[in-house]
Amino acid sequence: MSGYKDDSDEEMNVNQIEKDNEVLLDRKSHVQMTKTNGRLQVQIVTPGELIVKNASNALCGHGTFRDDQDQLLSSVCGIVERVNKLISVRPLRARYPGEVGDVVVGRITEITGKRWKVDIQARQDAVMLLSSVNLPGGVQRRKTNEDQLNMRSVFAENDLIVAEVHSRPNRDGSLQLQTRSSRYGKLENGVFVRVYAALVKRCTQHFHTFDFGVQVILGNNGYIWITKKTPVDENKQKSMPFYTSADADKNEAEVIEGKDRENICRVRNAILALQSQFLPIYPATILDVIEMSKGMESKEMTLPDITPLITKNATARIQKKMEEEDMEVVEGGY
Amino acid sequence: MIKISPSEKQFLIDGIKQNMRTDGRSRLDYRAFTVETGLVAQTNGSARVKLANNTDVLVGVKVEIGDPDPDFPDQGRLEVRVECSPSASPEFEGRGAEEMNAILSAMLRNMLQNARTVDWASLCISPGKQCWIVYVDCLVLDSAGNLFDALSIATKSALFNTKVPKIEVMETSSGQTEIEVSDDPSDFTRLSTASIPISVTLAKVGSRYIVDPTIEEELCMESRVTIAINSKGNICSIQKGGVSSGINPSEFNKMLQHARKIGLVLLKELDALLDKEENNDTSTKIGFAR
Amino acid sequence: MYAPQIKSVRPLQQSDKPSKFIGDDGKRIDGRSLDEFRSVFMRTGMVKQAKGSAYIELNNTKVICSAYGPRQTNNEFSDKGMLNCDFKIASFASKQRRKKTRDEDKEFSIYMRDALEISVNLDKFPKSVVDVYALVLEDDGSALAAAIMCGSLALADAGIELYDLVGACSAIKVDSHIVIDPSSTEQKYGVGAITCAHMSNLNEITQLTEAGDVEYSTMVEFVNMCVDGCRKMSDKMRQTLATEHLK
Repeated sequence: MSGYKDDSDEEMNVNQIEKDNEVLLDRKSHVQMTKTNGRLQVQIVTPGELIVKNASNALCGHGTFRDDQDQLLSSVCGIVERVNKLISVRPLRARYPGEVGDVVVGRITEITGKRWKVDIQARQDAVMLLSSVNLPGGVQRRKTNEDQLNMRSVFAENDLIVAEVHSRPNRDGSLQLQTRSSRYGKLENGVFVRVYAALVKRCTQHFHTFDFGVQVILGNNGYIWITKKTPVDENKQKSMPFYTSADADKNEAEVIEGKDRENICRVRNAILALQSQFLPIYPATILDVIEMSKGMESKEMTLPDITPLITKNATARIQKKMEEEDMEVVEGGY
Repeated sequence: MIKISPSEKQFLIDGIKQNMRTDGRSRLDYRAFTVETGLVAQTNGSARVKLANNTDVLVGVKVEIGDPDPDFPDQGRLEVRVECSPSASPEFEGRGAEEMNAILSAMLRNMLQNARTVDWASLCISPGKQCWIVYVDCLVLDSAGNLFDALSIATKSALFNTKVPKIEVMETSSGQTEIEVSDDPSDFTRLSTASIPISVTLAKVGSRYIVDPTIEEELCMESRVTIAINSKGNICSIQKGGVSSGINPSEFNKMLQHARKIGLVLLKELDALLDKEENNDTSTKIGFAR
Repeated sequence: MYAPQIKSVRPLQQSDKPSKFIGDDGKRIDGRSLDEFRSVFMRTGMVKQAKGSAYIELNNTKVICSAYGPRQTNNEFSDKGMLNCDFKIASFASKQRRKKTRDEDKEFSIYMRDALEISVNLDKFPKSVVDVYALVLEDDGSALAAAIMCGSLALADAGIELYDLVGACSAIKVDSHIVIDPSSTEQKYGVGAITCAHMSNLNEITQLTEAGDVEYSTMVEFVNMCVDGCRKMSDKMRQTLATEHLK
């Protein structure tokens, strides 16, 4: 922790309230953690709370500010993260901050000129340029004026899409999206769920197919799409990228029935149960909840006294995971 | 404001056709609801109802002494006002909630304001001169569909919880009447609430209808029929809404029957909940926004 | 200086409740039978400024209605048109001068819009609004029903594309008899006031409101009687439109 020492060589005073607790640093996620009664807990600060007393050396990251006595204070409620000298607070219920390369699910709000505006639960609507989508049929060519007039037939207002964060072009913080891949495009025939963006855990793969035939797209922005797994048609996959509105009109959507629909409900309710217990959402935790909920009807999963029961395994998993990471840190020579 | 794409809509409608809604309920399943009473100390009666932790309404009842309605001098008076707070949804800001407020207040007023729901004559103090005015003020704190039924349940619960102070009417020598309100808080009368109805809202989606629609389902519905049922199984008010489809008269009769059946079950459930709530010691309750 | 001495005089509150609503001969106070309408008068095209207008008289209930549009809106893009209704009761319309009660007007405006909008082919004018203004000149019961019919006639007169005409009818229970097209006295003391709007060719109820505690069987009877009443009225409306059109 030598990097955090200030000029007078005094140890940086990390959050006085927690000073009796052992302060650990989870190297992997850079999350500040404390150990209370042998239980690991992430350190949560509230707005105005002191993070570092003598902060002349520290860098002031997102969610923090420096006062006139050179103290570093938190400006949001969230988890303290530090990378070397940079200290930031990741808010838990704030809007989606956005990061280039993220998979996001969004809803078209407006069509203006050559761009779509997309709601992705960020501070501002993201933009997607006409030039950053694939046209119906997957033709690669320069976009003409005619294409501009037909934008509504590609994605119309209120349509849901899955896209990738392409860049952050403006200083106002708005994001630019793109769907130039067969994986991205319009979402059809499924259920949309909204959760806190912070709960969606970053994974290598945000498209996940469960072996009971349900596909989820866990958007990094907290928007989630659940649908039936579509049988992979190799040729189709290559020649025709994801649906756009025009394509969807051509092939009449198949009606999802029986077991498939029930499974989709189950996944939806599992995700909402996880959110109600403020647990991270990723395939393993979703499966935990579904496993626990076997033998009950899917509608029971939303009952207020049932949710803590069915999320028990997921809670245990998270606790265990945190302890393991703690071990690694210790073994790593602390 | 919540938006929904045509494809999501189709998915919801298909689900309703197959009797499997997106949250796993069947068409005639209600969401679990919770009722709390006696939350607001400044009122004579209050209640809060939550549908599945999502729709959240608070009703406060105040009784005051005032002039009776000149048309009905020997009865008490009712004033109902519903306010959709902008904290529930940004679309309720400014004049956005006006229509919703009007339609919800009208539904509650129609439901309550008839001779047999509350014994209005018992709220008369001095005919033509003074009576109790019952102010029912409803706040919508969070809206996730089916405000109608949530409000009707909350209103019944709040009136059940209402304590009307005991009064004494005295004739003074000059022929004037004088009213003395008892200052003993334990000296009160209750309203007769046994025959106050609750409403059941049926939403028509495609050719089917569902109860207790979520906000997404409300976006798909073609028409809505809110039917108020009392414990005798009588129909106390009907309000049809929704602008994209009419209802065939024979279908309408079927809806009435269904609503009646569901309403009677709900009423029983609510009565049990209210009795339990009444016997609970509410003074130890802390933290109302649970 | 003399100031005129005015004693505040409250009008004597006399109950206007008759002892009997239905006579021994089975007739109502005004001599009608239970399912008889008052004398109906309808005409169209009396407001020259409006694109379409209509006037309906149910004896002492008088409603005038005009339709304007379609006009463009500044609202969000929508591929369907919208109907905007405004229902107003003149302050001299009833026995006691009406103080401004915006709540009731708003409520009835919504009912009126719901009743009429289903009958309008909204796909025909995207991004536009049609305005319908109803003014109740005199209210002797069943004003909402009269306003709905009047609105439907005005829309037809304005040449707006409609699926069907909307007939409307009120009913109420007095002395354990159901009567249709109630007068204001019957409306005041009756139980279970119902107003129903119905498209007779499509056989669909477009709007229905009811207030008051009645048994299920009575309610079924209510609906049937109202639907019959609506049919009668829409026939009358059709006749009116046809004759006025030939003028």
